[in-house]
Amino acid sequence: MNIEITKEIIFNYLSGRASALQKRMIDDWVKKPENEELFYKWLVEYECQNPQYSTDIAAGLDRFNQLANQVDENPDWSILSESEAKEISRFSWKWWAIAASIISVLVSGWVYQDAFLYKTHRTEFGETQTITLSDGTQVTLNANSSLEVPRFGFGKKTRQVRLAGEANFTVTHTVDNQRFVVKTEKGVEVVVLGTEFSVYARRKEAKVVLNKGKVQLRYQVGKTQKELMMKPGELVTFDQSNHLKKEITDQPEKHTAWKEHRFVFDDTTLEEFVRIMADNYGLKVIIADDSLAQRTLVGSFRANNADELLEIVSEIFNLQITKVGDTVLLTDK
Amino acid sequence: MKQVNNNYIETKGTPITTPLSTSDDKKVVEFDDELFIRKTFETNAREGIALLYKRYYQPLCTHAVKYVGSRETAEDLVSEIFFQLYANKTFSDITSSYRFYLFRAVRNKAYNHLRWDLSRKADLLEAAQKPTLDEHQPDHISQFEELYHDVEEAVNKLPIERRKIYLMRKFEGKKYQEIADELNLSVKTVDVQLHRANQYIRALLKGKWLLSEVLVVFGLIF
Repeated sequence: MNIEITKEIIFNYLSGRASALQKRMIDDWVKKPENEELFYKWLVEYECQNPQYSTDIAAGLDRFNQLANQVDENPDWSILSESEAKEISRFSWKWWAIAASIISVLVSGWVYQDAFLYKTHRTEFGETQTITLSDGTQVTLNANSSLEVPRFGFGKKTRQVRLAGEANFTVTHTVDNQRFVVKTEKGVEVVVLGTEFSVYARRKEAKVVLNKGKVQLRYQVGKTQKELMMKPGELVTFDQSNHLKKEITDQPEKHTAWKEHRFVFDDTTLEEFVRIMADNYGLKVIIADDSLAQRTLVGSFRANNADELLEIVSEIFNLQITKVGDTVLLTDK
Repeated sequence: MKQVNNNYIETKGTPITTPLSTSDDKKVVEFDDELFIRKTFETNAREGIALLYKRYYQPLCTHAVKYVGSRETAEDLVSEIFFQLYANKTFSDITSSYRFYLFRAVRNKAYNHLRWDLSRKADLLEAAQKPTLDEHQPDHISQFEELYHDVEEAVNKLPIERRKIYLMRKFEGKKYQEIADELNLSVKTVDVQLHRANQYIRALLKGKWLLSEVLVVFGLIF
């Protein structure tokens, strides 16, 4: 029962008068690329014959030309979408200068008002916490981290939070494409355009991993403000002097493994493990000799607390654990 | 000398033989009505976009408005597509017709915009769990048509006065004050009517078009 799909059938279909059977046939028919081409051709014909309202082509083109001019002048913007380009142009150098001067005045006033102006979410060593912000954005805080959220005006005009430590963000898109900005102590700013990512900001280092969507990084090198667009799967690290390193990670999820109390080690030295223990559990781990410190761990482990993690690692390397208060000594058995 | 010059100018001025007859590339023949635009893109992308605007802006907006119900939003979506086509230089990768690319893009964008729009005013708890809807694409082409036909139907079900106000605002792009003046109503009334119209349309569409999303959320939890 192969009925030929004609323009008439498609027109009927577009006007909502096709039968269920015809719809099913069209669904099949259109799977062939040449038919899909034909479909769009007829669609254009139909829409031209049945306009919903009359558009102002010149105005539309004007709008395009203005934006295109900006792109031509700033090739870096090429990966942005229109709304983002507008957003940035609105905040171009002039506004930055004005905004910066206002902010610097305000910041000095703010210093003493933090407790009043911000609600602080803090996690203890070994604790993770999931917070839902008033705009629906979800933040999972890793251990020993704090997130400051403005008590007033959050989500009205801006969405800005401050982070110390490590967190994963799933940002909710707003009607007016409002940006979500994560500030870190280092002056690295993550500007979000609807997305999922994690930020790590401890010991004057910063790390950003992007799982989904698009974010823009703003950071300071010397006195100049720089910007970088990130794509999903990218990992950007900043060292203590704000030198940037960009790599591609094929497993962005391993950077958020901590959300499920999983620890992913990928050629991780015991030395680095010491840092992880300090960051997450506040434990001071001492490794008896240097050659031991250079041995590496590979694999993904689940551990609910510091003791479990220590036990796993010591078992792998056949180590002796001696624990005194917050200090742990690891020695060869 | 003069003669030679003239001759030269003359040959240059003669129309180039129609590219169709010289090209044996099947694809080009298929999309022959866009050949001129295609050639323009090779030399001047801005000019190429301008040609696409002139040819497709109107039908694209007409199509998009059926989903999103507001000409402003429709125009935003359409100009975003043109902008990305230019800014990302996507135009050089298109192997189908431009028409194919543009209409497919606008349908996807409009479809996702509407679904996102339906989801965003859900209560906070629900909104927090909803994944971003950006990359969703229906399995069947008829779902696109079904969606905007549902929108149309929902608008048609509005009480006459309310529908009139809704259409004046959304399709004619009139301001609240203008509508109020024209219909001899207070701005407050116009506001209330529009709000009710939106809620009604939303409620009608939500049950059907957001169900699949709920399933996805459950899939993630368990």
